Amino acid sequence: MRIRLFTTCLGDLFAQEAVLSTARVLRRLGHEIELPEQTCCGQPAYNSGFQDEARPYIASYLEKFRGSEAVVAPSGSCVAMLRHGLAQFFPDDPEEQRLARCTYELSQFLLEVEGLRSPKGHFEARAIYHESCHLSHWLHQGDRAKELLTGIEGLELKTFREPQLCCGFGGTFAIHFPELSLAMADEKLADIEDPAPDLLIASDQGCLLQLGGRLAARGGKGPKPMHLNVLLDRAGVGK
Amino acid sequence: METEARAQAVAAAVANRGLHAAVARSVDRHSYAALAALTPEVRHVYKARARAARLRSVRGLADLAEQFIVAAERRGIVVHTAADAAEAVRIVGEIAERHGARRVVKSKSMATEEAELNAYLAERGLQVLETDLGEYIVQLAGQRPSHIVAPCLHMARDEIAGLFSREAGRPIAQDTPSLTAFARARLREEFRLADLGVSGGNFLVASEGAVVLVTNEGNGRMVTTIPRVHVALVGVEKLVRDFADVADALRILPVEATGQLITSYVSIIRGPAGDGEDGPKEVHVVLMDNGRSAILGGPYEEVLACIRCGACLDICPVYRQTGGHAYGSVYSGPIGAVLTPLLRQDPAAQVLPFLSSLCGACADVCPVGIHLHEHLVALRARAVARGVAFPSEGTAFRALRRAWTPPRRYRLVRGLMRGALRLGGGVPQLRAWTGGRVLPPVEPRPVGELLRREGLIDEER
Repeated sequence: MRIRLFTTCLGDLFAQEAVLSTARVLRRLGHEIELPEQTCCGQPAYNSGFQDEARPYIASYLEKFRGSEAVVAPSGSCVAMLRHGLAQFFPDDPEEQRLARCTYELSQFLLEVEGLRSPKGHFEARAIYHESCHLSHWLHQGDRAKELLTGIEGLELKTFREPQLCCGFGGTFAIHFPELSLAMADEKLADIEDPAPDLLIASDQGCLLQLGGRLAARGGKGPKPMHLNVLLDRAGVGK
Repeated sequence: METEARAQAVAAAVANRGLHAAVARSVDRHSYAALAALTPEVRHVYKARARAARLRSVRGLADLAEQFIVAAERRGIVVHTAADAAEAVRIVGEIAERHGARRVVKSKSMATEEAELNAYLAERGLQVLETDLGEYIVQLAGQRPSHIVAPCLHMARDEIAGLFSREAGRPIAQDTPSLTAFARARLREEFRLADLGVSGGNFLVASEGAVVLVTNEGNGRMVTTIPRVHVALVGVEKLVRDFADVADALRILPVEATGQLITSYVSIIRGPAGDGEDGPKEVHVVLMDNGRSAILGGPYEEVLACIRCGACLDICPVYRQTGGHAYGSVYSGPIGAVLTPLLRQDPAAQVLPFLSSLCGACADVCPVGIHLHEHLVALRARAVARGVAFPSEGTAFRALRRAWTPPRRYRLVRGLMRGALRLGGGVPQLRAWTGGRVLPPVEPRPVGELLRREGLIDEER
């Protein structure tokens, strides 16, 4: 397939390794990758109640990504925004609804389109996996992204006792209610049992900024944050 | 400023770690019990049926109200309609006055909380006693219920023992048998003396003119049978077509509320007692609208399908940190953050949809499939349109949109952003974020350059 990559602004600003890994995994699976001009998905404004300010981002996405066979992004949160934004702001055009349906987060693309089940790979690490809420609840994928990790040799995967509990990132929520957001991060991190694993894996950079940033502020002890796509890439998924 | 007041209340609740421990323990117990009660497949089917039944009823609400009134009056129930909370409490007050009532016993009812009935009756010199154990406890503490189903779930056992000891004038031990034995003896006496029983209602059955009450403690049955007069104050959205629809909703309500397949008591009230029968000589139903009809036919209509099970509160990562009182509203948690600004138009209510990380767990768990996460976002937009927003955000998002929506300009601006973020907490909003977290530096080069350098991009055909 010719896949267009939506890098996301968090990916571009803070998590370029996750973006590069997304492209590498897709290329290894035999896809061609295009990189249209792009900007943010508009979620910060949208979720803060400024829908008029969010619409131009969706309009820009529509203009630059119109006609895509598939779009893949390293974030379920941005994909949920793009899908909902297209449905809300441009509900009547069939192309817009087609584009919404073929915009995927990477694990979603690998499971739904590529049909991967427990792909083979090798990566030596002890890791704990955090489910992205927007992937689980807004894109209704539940905890299936984990299936992509079960075939990786050398990976010792732990799960949270409360895997569905939000990390507390929430975009501007973390600024509106800072103590609450931090308490949510701390509760999530308290759910990591000793001895702490090497890596904290998540598929959304927002969660990794929140949990990784909190771990760093608390002195840097505990697992290192790593994007799921980076792990899939380093494990050689698609080879 | 409404946003500031809410932020302060939330910060205070979060600082109380004992509160978090008590709330988290209780909500987890509810959630796990619900998971254990049914297989996922059966739960899914029950939810779909409940949603269908509730939506059918909500969409036919005006007709159902007429049917209910005719059927209930045929059975000797006096039905009153109240446009708002003020009218609802006035009606109850008049009934109490007509009967010269002095003592009122109540079973658990969120509608009476919403209408602030207790305060109204107390001002008129009536003694009002809550008889649901949790409601009795929060009433003794001078508080409001903090959860739709479990009113005192925010309280620790020793606090409850303290309240009971004060009430008893002697020490009451904090083990469950001692606590319940005290409450039971104390409440039993009140049931005997009361002249008026007030309840809510889980369902109003239009075809039969019946009120259905779903309870666990038996107090609901005492309230609706011992006093001479029973008044049920119920929100109009509780109307359903018939008992088949009650069954569809009742299969899932106790599961989602407490993990029970059925509650200890399901009472069906079909009118006053006849001569020689036990029960009240007069039964009244107050159908309270209080903002509900205005929701019908609009984008939030499905919110009226809520069966008040509390599952969204139990699953909510925010509620478990703050408890219910931090919301400052009768209804808390995700459903409270959606329902309150729809029922109440004041600015303080409009802030509540912001009190969510938008994780969406609430919408997944909701047994009647209310799209709570989407309503939260839509109601934020409505709040902003009404001028309720966090300070200076409009300016920031307008500037960001101008800088970012042309993709070419985004590339330029990212350089400026990198500089700004390196300067640290120069932006006040950002300081709230960096206060407890370390933000990594912005990457120096746009990621497109790296992708192309590595040969990962095929140029567009």
